[in-house]
Amino acid sequence: MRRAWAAISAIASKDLKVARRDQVTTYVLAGSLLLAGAARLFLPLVEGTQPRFAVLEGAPAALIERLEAAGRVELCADEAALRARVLEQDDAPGLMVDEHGALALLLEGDEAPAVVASTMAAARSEAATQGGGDGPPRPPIRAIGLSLLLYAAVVLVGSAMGLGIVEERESGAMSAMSVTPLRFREYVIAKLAVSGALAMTLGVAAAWVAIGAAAPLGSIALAALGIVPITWLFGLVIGAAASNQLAAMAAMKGLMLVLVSAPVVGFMDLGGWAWLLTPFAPHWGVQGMFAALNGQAPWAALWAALWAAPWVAGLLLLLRRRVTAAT
Amino acid sequence: MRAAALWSLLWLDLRLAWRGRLFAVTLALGAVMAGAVRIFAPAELGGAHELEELAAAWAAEGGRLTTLRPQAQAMTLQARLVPAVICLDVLVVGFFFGGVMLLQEKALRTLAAYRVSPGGAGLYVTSKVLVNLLMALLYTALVLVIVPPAGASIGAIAGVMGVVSLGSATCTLGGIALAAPFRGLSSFFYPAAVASMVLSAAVPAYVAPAFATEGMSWIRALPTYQAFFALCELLGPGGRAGVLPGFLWISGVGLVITAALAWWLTARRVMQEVA
Repeated sequence: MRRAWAAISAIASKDLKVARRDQVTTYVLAGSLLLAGAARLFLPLVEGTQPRFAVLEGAPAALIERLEAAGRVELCADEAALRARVLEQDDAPGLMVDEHGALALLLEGDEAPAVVASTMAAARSEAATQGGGDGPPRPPIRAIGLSLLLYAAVVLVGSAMGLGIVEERESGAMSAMSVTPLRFREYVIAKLAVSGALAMTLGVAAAWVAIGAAAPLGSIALAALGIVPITWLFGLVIGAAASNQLAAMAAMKGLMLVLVSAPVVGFMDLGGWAWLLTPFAPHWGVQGMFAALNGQAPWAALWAALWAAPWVAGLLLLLRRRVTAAT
Repeated sequence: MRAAALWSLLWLDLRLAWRGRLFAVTLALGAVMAGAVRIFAPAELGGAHELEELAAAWAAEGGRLTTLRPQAQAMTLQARLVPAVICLDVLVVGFFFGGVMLLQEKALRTLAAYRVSPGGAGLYVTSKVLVNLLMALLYTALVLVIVPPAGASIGAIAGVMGVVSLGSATCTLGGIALAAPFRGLSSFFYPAAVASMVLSAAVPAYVAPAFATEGMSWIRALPTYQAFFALCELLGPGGRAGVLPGFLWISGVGLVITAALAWWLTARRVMQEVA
């Protein structure tokens, strides 16, 4: 037991030293915290985005007032400027009073019906989309964005673990280790412990940077704990499947499809097809983080751990075979 | 002489990419993503009936409704997703490949051998760009075969290949320039992931154009943002002025800057450190 502990701490210490020498730890921390800082800066802007209306100068003050109650009004000097503004890519409808005194609505043509309906409602002084309107509730963009970001901060640590294994194989360090008393399980426990601890720390630190002192750090830590097996899964796929850095990149590219698309699709309205996401651990991981951010218990992250666990076990067996074959 | 050297390098890079399963994974992903778009994304227009009802109600109240670009309605969700499938792989993920190829050769010490050959940094970088370009064009062709763009002319398809080529070259060169100072993939991965996430900020702006306003207008300067709308313009109804010139301007400037940086860093740093 004492020997095993010494071997595990030796490998963990070696991994941390290599990570420090190659500045991997610095980049992992800086990259995640930088993104968390950017999220803190930009997500409120995105959430506070108001509908925009382009209005021809000289339009009745009452119309402008009604539109300002529903969004932001941009005044255009002449009709050509109004048309040019409407043709920009941000779905801002145009309004003007034509020569016959009729209220003219200018659309580009690809606006969603909801945009057209809310513009008409605002111009008519009906209940507008902002504040007190009876339109569909706005999606919680900030919580969705943050949960995806924190999930990414935790899971991407797996890349450092996987690429570390690939580099050990390429550099011959793995062959050297095979003639020491080190056992495979000690090697793996060290890898999983270092990446798990780093992932947890990073998830909580990123939440603190992105949200501040108000962040429910306890729930976020629990959600991050549930996501850690996905971090291991990510690292083990790279470590077990790739024999060199190019193959590692190919493995990451293939895996990213599931790691990114399942969580994003989970926030869409899938109707009766939502059950299809059940076996996808990344979906549950992000849902757990989303619950934690909303002050709820992150039970979904437990599902993430349960669904990822068999994959982690299978990949450990595969990695053992690869390591044995390589040495 | 230089053509023969380039051909040798290109052949070597192609074999390495093939052995690393980059081609296989890229094409398999293209097939899966394009297949999913073909199967799940509606190929019919949605909301047209609702818009007609809104227009009728507006007219009944004495209002007038003018659609400046009526053909814009003709883009289905399936058609709108094709530029996203192409851009995400070629530009956002493709950004990694140039850098990874360079780092792989650092690890294998192939670069040390190359240093004492007559080839220079220019040929070395060109070869990487051409391999990624080939992969990007094959991927795009596969996506367009699986989800054929309705009514797109041969000229439009050629234009798509041109946009993909320019975007792929810029991103590969950017990846090489970013990777040059790093020792290995594990230290390069995070900075590249952050850069890729910034490039992918164009995705929500493509889905909801209002996203690129209110302090987020910097997204419009990203080559990915310009490429999304340039592909949409070529594969869709067209008629939106300034989209293609905007892409050409931003990507052209990006290509010149990334080419200069990639060449300079390869010549002055990568080739020196392995000498």
